[in-house]
Amino acid sequence: MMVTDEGQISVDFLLGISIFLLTFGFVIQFIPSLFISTSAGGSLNPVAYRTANILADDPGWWQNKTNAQNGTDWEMHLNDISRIGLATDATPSTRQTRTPKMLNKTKILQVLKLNKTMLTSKLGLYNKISGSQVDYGYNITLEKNGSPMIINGSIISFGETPPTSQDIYKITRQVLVETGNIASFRADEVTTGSSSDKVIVNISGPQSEDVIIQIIDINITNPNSSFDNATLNGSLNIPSDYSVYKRTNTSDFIYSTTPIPLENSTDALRLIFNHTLFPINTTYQLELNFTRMNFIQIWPPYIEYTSKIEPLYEPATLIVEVWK
Amino acid sequence: MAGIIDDTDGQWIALSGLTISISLVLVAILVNEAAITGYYSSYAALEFPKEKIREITAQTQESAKNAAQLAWNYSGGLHATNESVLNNFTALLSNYSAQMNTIYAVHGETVNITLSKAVFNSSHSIDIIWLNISYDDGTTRYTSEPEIIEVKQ
Amino acid sequence: MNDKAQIHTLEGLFAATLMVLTVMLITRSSLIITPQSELSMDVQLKQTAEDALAILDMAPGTALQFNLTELVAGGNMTEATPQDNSLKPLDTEIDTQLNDIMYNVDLAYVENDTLTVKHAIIHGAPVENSVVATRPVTLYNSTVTQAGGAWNVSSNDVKVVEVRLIAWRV
Repeated sequence: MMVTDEGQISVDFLLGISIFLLTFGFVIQFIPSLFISTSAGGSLNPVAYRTANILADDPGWWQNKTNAQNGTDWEMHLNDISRIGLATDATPSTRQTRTPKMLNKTKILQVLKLNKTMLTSKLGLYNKISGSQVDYGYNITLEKNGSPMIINGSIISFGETPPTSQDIYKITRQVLVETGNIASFRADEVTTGSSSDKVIVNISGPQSEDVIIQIIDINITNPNSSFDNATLNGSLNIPSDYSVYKRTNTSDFIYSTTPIPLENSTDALRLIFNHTLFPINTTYQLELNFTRMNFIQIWPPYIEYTSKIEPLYEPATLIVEVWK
Repeated sequence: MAGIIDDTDGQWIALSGLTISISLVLVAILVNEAAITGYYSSYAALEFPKEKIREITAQTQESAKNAAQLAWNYSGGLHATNESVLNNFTALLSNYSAQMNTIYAVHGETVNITLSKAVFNSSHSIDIIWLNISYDDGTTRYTSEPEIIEVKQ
Repeated sequence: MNDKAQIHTLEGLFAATLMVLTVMLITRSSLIITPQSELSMDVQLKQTAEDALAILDMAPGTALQFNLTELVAGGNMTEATPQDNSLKPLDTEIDTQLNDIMYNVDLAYVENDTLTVKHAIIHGAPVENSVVATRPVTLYNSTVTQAGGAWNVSSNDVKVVEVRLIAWRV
């Protein structure tokens, strides 16, 4: 009898404690899912926001304490960088730039040369936890139409490949990126050769960057006008050395194959010539051949590419991704 | 029933349940606190008028340059006198300033743009403009005095 | 009947109910489900809208066909309807900047010392979490004539127009 009584008590205790433990286990399991979304959710968003802001809106800063010099042109002083920013700046001696959101090509290309330790510390992508430095993972990419941009043959992306298993904090900024040089001519200011449908432009070599020529405000009088081809110093270029883009009033510049029909006065042409076509120190004569066009005939001296050269900016997206 | 009340053996189970509940509530409050801090820091990013300040200075620079050119043209170009150019420029600038003021007042912000000095060159056009720009949205105050603008032809 | 046998079960049940209730209370309370991620979405949206307007305003002639001033100057001054907006080229340019974001555009300007607001582009009714980005542009008689717009600006006057971009995610 005594034995049966004792047994009943321990079954009861067992039941009570197992209900308690089961619920406790459930609660413990529940806690992480309850808090993880909120506590971790915001912690790196400000970091991504700050990094994107400094890169897009600030020209950066360098400082040399020994000879007391400083400026925003850190791309020329890679050993004395204080802060990395990509915005272009016409006055490197003052701290502010009047052109935020317009990213400078030299600065972008110089960033790619910096090593990871330098980038992490100058972009402030780390946290100090009880005295030791914990680096964040990051990836910073310039994208145009969903694919990374390529400037002077380099893909503009630095950092690591984002992991798939972790939360990633992402900020995107719309920016204008300097990708090269362009000379934009109105149709009434270009010089022509022997006939009124041949445009001649002088290009002085050597050129280290691709030569981009744009012709706008084309006055079209004949319905069958077209652009046919480009020749350099009288010899025909192989098509792979240059490409032609056409803009109409309904589309931006899109790649076209010659001959390109010109139908509307709002049509514009953009020609991109590989810089390897202009390797030596001489003046190259570029002829653009049209059909049934009447450019106003202006005789030599021919117009110079370098006289109208300006930086070419393209709209792009700056993507900053940060993770722990 | 007296037996149940007298028997206090199992109270620790109920007590630990209570302890766990209280600690859960405490953790929740702490996490909430942290989240609220995050909320305010994100909110600060939305509230600080960095783009406003930039757009006002950028727009004012551009407009001042154009107004200087317009004032010179309207005063008769090369036949103009410094006084007439300055008069026309001041009129354009105060007009610009008044319109900016009205537009920003609608979103509760004060914008003031005044001319402090204009430097002329030999052909009676304005070379350098010194402006005072101030902006206030109640929490953030920005002044640029002087904002020096070089007019290039 | 042995009364003693129930006491531990009851206490276990009591503790369990207490814990479950606490968890329920925490999950139900609205404060803990913070609007943090939503707010960072707002920050992103506002930044994108402001970037889009700024880029349109600053772009040199070779980057975009028209900048914001030229686009606004070309407006025909009619009130927009959801079917027909009065600034189609501006609509195209903003659309390429803000893909998968909905937006309306209003123009605010001073006329006879009072502020006038006109709808220029209407794509729908803004939702609760909409953001507004603004950018002023200055119009002159010459810019309006060149762009073929219907603004009334005399040759010795300026007209400041504020472009208001109201953006939201669906």
